[in-house]
Amino acid sequence: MIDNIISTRFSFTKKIKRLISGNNLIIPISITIIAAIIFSLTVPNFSNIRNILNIFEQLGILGFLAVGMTFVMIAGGIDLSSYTVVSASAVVGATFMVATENVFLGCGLMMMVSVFFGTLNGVAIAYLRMIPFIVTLSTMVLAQGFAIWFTKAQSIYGLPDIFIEIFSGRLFNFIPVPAILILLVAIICSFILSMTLYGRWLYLTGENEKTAEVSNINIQFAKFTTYIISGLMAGITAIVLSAVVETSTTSMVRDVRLMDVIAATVIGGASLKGGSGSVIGTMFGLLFITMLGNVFNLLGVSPFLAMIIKGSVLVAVIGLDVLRTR
Amino acid sequence: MTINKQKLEMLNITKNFPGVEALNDVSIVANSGEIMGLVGVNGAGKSTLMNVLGGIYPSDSGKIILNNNHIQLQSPNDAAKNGISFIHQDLLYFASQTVAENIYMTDLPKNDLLPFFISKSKIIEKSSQVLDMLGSDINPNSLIEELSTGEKQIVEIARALATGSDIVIFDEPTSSLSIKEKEKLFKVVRKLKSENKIIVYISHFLNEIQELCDTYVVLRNGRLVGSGNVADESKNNIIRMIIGRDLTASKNIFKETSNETILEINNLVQGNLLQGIDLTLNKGEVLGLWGLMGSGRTELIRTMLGLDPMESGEIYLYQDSKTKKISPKQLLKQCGYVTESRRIDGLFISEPVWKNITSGNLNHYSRGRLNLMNSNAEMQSAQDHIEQLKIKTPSYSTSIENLSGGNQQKAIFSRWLDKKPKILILDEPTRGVDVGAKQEIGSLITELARDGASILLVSSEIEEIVSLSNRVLVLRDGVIVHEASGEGINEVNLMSVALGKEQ
Repeated sequence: MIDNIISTRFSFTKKIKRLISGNNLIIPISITIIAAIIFSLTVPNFSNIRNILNIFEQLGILGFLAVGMTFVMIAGGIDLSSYTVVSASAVVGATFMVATENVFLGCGLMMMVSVFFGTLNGVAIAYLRMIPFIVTLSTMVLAQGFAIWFTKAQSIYGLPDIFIEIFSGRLFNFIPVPAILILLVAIICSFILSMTLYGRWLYLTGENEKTAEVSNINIQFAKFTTYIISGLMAGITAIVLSAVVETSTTSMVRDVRLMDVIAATVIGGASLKGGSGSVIGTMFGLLFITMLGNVFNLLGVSPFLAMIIKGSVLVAVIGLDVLRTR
Repeated sequence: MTINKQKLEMLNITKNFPGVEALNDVSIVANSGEIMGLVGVNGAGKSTLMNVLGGIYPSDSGKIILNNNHIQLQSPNDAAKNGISFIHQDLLYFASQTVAENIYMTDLPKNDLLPFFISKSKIIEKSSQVLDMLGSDINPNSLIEELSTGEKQIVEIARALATGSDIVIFDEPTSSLSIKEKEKLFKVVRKLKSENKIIVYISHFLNEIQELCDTYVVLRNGRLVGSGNVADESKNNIIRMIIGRDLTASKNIFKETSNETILEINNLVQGNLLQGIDLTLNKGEVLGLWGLMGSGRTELIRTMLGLDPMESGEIYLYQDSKTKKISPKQLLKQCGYVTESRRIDGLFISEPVWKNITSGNLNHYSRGRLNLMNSNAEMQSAQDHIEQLKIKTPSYSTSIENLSGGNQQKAIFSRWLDKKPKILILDEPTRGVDVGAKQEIGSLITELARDGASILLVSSEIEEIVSLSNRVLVLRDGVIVHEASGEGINEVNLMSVALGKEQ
């Protein structure tokens, strides 16, 4: 009886909740399309083909981190460290690549370092039951400090030409290689999440850890592996980004970008409480956020004002998340 | 100052919750210098009555008279103003603060010179006095988290004294205490009695009532069914009042089951909660696990399934005429487990019905190297279960939060039926479901056992235990105190054992 009273009183909230529910893609796709239409009508040069390619190139680079974040958030965690892990793995790999001229060794090292940090996060969170926010915040500072210490704050130049050519090339002289890569990764990851047993484990663990445990799902394994995947994605980002900018530095991805990644993932349907989200949604969310940044650029909005606006967007998006998961 | 007699009267108290008549025309009188025992089964109305006195729920009608003054209790604050203190079952304290600070939490003494500051020495001094008065040797400087449960309780009592309470209500205070701590607590309660306080003592346990209390009040289904002096009434009579003569209707139909053991648990220990549990579960039987709230029922199950840490104990599984020693986690893999609270660890609340049903048996639906999920097969078998158990839902893809409690529970049952485990553990399987679903679940349990599943049934509803079990173990204070079978499975017998009447 009490339930009935409550349900009628909150039916309005329920309607909103259904509309913005994480399981449908209507919201991320529609806001992205609406934004694209508005921007191309009102912002000069936005629909220029070169600008559009530019947007997709940026999306390609942040896309890997956003995919990693999607995995982590579906299983109920968060990874704040991935963007500094990119720098830490890039400088280590680049140093050896420059010294040995061996592209495979360099790329391999970048992946290994990023997976190492992912393991650190995963063990602490899944097996030692530490809080994701604090663990990954610490790893973020740790990776940043490591990168600066390792390079003595110097950027690393002189990467092999072949390495730069592979990743900064354009297929058919048109599509940037990073965009192809992210498409490939997105398709594979989307498949894993929606079609496999492992994907189901992640959603159920994020939805309700206790029920998942009673249902014989290895929740520790599920959570642990999401941080490994997030680490792998940071490694791929390190490789692609080093090649595109032809150098490895200690701040390859700026902190504002972390905000972009989180906002994109949440707009795409992931919840900070876990249990929902999808790679396709995240990609549209990321497209929206990237377009927004691009428009600020085209309009000559001060980068600091842009930060204020993006920060507000993130808070608004998280507010909506609270509303839909209540 | 002369000691004046105090008197508390609660007259014709009635309280309804939507759909439930919690209290119906209950009147009690308590005098200072007396300990009044308030007894009754779970849901009899004890807590509601005391919550009315504590100002937590205002009553619908009736009045409360303290020393011939009509008092209004609209909030816990009102109760505190009238000197009423409630010692809750779940103690409320600040763990990282000292004993003294907890005692004076609501009224910290200020420094004389600098009234912005708290005077540490004064708090210590005053709390030592209170603790001395209770005859306790707890150091007021120690932190709450360093104390045992029993000591924490005494701190809570000291707090009640420090705020000048004249009426102290104890709600099941011994449920988590060791025997020694219990004796200490009784000493303190008697001390309060000699200080001329009005004391109301809520308990399931008749032994405690007989040992400690001067008067008793029995509630059943929200009505007053008896009261008087403890010394004047026999224990059997009180038990009869608690259960009610008309409640022996549900009968156990004696059923022959095999003596083939499937699961054996030896000497399971977890802290104070479980003190060496031995049990065997036979093939095709319903083994009832009966005990009052706080007796360790859910703890036993969570520990044997590896969801809570096990301090010591051995688990043996008999399979294919072989005995295998297994770990709790391995046992969980072999079992189906319907948990006590659906919302906490039973449902994936925003997932569709079909994902809830298949979640316990996912390996069955995944195939190939890539472990691809065969969602069509999942939905098909969810549909089969929906039809089989008559789960009322618009479709298998409806989000499970839109189903009624009974149908959610049936969906959880389906999850385990899908896995077809040999052992099924049911913790309060009919809690919060309507009468119709209750019956359906009851006959489902019987049917499953007939088909060869071994079922461990935990329930706080005695009718359910009596009507469904082949054998019943009675749990009290973390120990199995009695095993009943055949004729022995009746409400009077089980209730008297659980309430603490020795055989």
